[in-house]
Amino acid sequence: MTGLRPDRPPGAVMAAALLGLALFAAPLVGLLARTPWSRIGSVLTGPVATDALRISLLTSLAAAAVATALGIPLAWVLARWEFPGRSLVRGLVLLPMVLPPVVGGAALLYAFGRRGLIGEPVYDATGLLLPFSGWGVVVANAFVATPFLVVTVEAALRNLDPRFEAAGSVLGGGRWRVFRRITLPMIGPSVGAGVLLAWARALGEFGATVTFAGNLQGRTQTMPLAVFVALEQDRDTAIALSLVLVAVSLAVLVVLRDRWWRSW
Amino acid sequence: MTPAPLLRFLVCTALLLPGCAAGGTAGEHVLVFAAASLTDAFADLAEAFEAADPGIEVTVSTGASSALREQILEGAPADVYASANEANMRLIVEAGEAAAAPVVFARNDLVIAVPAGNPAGVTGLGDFARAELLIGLCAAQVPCGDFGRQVLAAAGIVPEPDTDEPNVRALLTKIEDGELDAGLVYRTDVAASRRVEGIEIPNRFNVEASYPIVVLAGSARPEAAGAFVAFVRSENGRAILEARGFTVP
Amino acid sequence: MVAILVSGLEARVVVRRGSGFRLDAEITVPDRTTVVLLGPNGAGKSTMVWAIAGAIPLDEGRITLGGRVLDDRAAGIRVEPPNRRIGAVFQDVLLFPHLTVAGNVAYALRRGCRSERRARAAAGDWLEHFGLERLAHLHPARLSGGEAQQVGLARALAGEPDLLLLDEPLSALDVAARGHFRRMLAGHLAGFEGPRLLITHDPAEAFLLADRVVVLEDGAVTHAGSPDDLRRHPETAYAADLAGVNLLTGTARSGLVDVGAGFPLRIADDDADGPVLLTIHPRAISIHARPPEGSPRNVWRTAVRSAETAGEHARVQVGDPLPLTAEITAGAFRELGITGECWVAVEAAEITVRPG
Repeated sequence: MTGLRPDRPPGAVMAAALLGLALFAAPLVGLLARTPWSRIGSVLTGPVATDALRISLLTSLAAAAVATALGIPLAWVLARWEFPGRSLVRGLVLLPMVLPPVVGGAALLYAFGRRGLIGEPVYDATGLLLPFSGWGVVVANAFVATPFLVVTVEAALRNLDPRFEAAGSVLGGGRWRVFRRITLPMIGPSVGAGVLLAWARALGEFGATVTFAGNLQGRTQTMPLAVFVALEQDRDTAIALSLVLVAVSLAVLVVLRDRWWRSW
Repeated sequence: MTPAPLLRFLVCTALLLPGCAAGGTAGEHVLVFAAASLTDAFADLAEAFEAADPGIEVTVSTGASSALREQILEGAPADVYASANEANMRLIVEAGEAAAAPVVFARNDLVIAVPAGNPAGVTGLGDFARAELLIGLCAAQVPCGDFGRQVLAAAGIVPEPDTDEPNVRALLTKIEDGELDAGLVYRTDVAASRRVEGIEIPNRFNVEASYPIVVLAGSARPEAAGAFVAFVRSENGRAILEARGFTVP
Repeated sequence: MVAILVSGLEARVVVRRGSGFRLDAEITVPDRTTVVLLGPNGAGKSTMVWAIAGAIPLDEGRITLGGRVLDDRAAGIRVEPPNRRIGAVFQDVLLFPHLTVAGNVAYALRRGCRSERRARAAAGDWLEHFGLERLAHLHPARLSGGEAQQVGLARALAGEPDLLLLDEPLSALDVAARGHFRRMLAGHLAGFEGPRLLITHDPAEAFLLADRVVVLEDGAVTHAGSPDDLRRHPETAYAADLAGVNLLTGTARSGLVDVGAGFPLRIADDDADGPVLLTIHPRAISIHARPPEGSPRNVWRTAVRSAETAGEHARVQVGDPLPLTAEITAGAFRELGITGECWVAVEAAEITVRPG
């Protein structure tokens, strides 16, 4: 590790690394050992599983879209504009990453619930309500997922040599063309990684969702919620759904190989 | 120190596992798993018990009875289990985790809870079928949810819930905050909260929840645990339970 | 006093950078003229370029191009960079790495209302005009230094700009490629009708490409004039150092270089072959009243054309057959008493040879 060619790490490093690997591998092995393989087909095609899968996929993808639409401009402002209080704003944007998700869900209720700061006037005026609806799930998921995208994209923007955008401007590109043709493509891999991370986070979200959007099969019950409820009674469904979540997460990580971290 | 206590001490301080007594010398420590609806009552009971018997410290951990049951079956180091229904207790007994025969120490029934002021003008069980109201139940897998569905079935009403909350406390909080118009919760929950009102359910539809309690077979301090259970069933204990709205057998 | 031009570039640029540095420079570039901005690193040359291009805002000053006001701090006028119609070759070229060569050129061609499709088609034609069509589908990472510079130049000219800005266009090239590219660049510059502003720190580039030289030191202009002016009358130590250097072009073979003086110069490099660039420092040239003896291999007879003393030094210009600027001590010059015929000697080892 001290030369120019990668070789085997020293023994102590290997030992610690293997211990770390065990931390991740053991629960997965435990899960696989308890899986009711003969029943898994019927469980995964039952109404609880299919409803939960459908809601999870739709809401997580929608949340990832929201995270992208709002997160990229946020990252841009944080990376490119020096304004007073910038650190504070960045802290605010990253808060959902450190906040316990249930607390986040409660806070969302106090803002957008029926008696919420913003939710109440909107409800009184239009009858529109986020809690207990699929859109509520999307909002809760977007709340926890967006910071991941902001962090990734902001770092990419900071590392981007600003002279390329200046060159694009001098050579005739207006601000929008420079953003679309120069900035975005050059940070493309990072944006992709950020979107993937946000989506994976949204897929696994539980605390904020159950607190804000509630739990109703067929409407707001996502896979993590279904697993939690199923654990108390129908073990097999819980394990089968967990396996699906694990498989999806693994797929995300495989796609997020080293390649995605390459920058121009 | 001999190896075994030393190892236990190291493991306990390193991992801060619940149920680790502080070196095992400062006094007994009893861990009670109790149903969510027993939260306030058992807080009172624990305080009163510690005042009467200073050598024993009682920690109460509440949650959905079914979740607690699962934890006990997976080996959680609880000393006492108080469930909100007989079904969960039966599973504990069948698994051989009960040190003795469970005893019913309290009873509860359900009421309709609405936010203070009853803004949606709920009058009875019939409102649970109205789609335009925001209705909450407990998840079917927890006792409160099971009872709630029994009540509605008895009344011949097909409910239109907007959420099946994972435990009764979560349901109650949403009603208190006005996020829900009505829900089915325990009588004791309504009694404990100043921000909800209760609407009676006709007796012929209502269910009676029986709360059994037992010392667990895996307890490391069966005597202290037994002392606590005895206190719960004593005159003092019953008075505390009644004060919180339970009926006592 | 600056003459008012209705064509060409006129720029008075004042920019304050955070570390206390202040750029305050005035520069005029008429049409069909190449002005070279010469200066040491940190003098503010790149700042000047980016300010003229509009990427850095002016603190004070005024920039006009072809009669259009691009920037006038006092009057509150500011034209955004894309609308200034400037073609720029940037330091490090800055080809967009995610676009092909054709894509890079097409980007510049999009200035105005052309559609993407038409820009792409025009890019193909443009690259053919430059002889670069074989590179069209390559990404910048696959290009050699010289190829990248050519593409950068093609991209700069593609938008049919009113002003050509080149920031250290040759610095990214290795020495061998530089000569070839410099000649090619000179050709393109000559073909560009508008004003051309070239930034460099290399005096050889400056003298070979410039119609006028402006020396920038520490944020201020210390000299503006023709290259010969600079050579004869350097005003600062830096200017003197780079200006006085004698530059000759010639053809080398077997240790001899033909510089068009009627006699070959002996150099220390026997391997040099073909077009070369020779530099002779003024202090490496000795002047004698009578034919000198000793080691110098290059000795010839010439006449003093002019001389100036400044303090302890004298700068002596000698004329045909090979005009050079020499620097000797003032005392030595007085002793020699030379006013006309003299002999000049230069050691072969003192002549620096570069491929030209």
